[in-house]
Amino acid sequence: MERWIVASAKVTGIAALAAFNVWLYMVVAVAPVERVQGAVQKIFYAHVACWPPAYLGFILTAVGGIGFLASRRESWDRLALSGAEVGLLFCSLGLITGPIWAKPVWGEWWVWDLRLTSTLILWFIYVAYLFLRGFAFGTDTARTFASIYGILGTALIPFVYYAVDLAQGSTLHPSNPVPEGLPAGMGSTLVAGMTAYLLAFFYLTARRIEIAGLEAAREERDWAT
Amino acid sequence: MIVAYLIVGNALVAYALYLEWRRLKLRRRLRDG
Repeated sequence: MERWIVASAKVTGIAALAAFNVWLYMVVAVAPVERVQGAVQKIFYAHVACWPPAYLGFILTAVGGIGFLASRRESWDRLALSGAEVGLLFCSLGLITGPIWAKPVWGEWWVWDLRLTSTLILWFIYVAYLFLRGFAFGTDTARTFASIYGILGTALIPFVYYAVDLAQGSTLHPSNPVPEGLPAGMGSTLVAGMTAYLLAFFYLTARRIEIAGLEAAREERDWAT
Repeated sequence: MIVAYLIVGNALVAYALYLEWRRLKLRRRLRDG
């Protein structure tokens, strides 16, 4: 499976580039300017599209963790590590673009409501995961611990996703958008953005997995010599 | 608005280039022994 993922990088990379161009054209020319917020509302497309690849990355970390615990094969561990790293990149971008949108609309860069706080905790969980991987490099115990940690980390994702509903109106954050429920031009632009981001996610993850595999091969060679 | 798009675009391109650099460096090192 790993070989197949690595081989797919070129195709997903080219597709991501094309999808980003289409998406940017749609943001400028197709998506309407929102009546109340004005042009700043267009940050919506860059911000919301960050979350599917972020969550997917963290879910891949759990899948890789389960695979590693079940089979003890290092390729599963490489999938887990790559998912966390690329997922964290998209989570960071979501956490950066959110405040840029919030400041002109809410008047605040950040509010400590349920959605924002839980997302920040999720971000810290995966920062800690990567630190753990960095400090305890290469041992089987570290891989086992990281697998369990990665599986437990995903438990927070449904809570983050439904945090707006759980807050029951006591949050400034808008509810989770559904493309079909958006005005003409907005839904299709959001879908185009999500597609571009997901293709970029697959490309970056495939490249990261390849690097982890090359690092393992180098270590093996260094051990042998 | 443009700032948000510039941050996202630059971050993704920078990370992709960083991965490519690491990948090529590792491949070269493995090939050359």
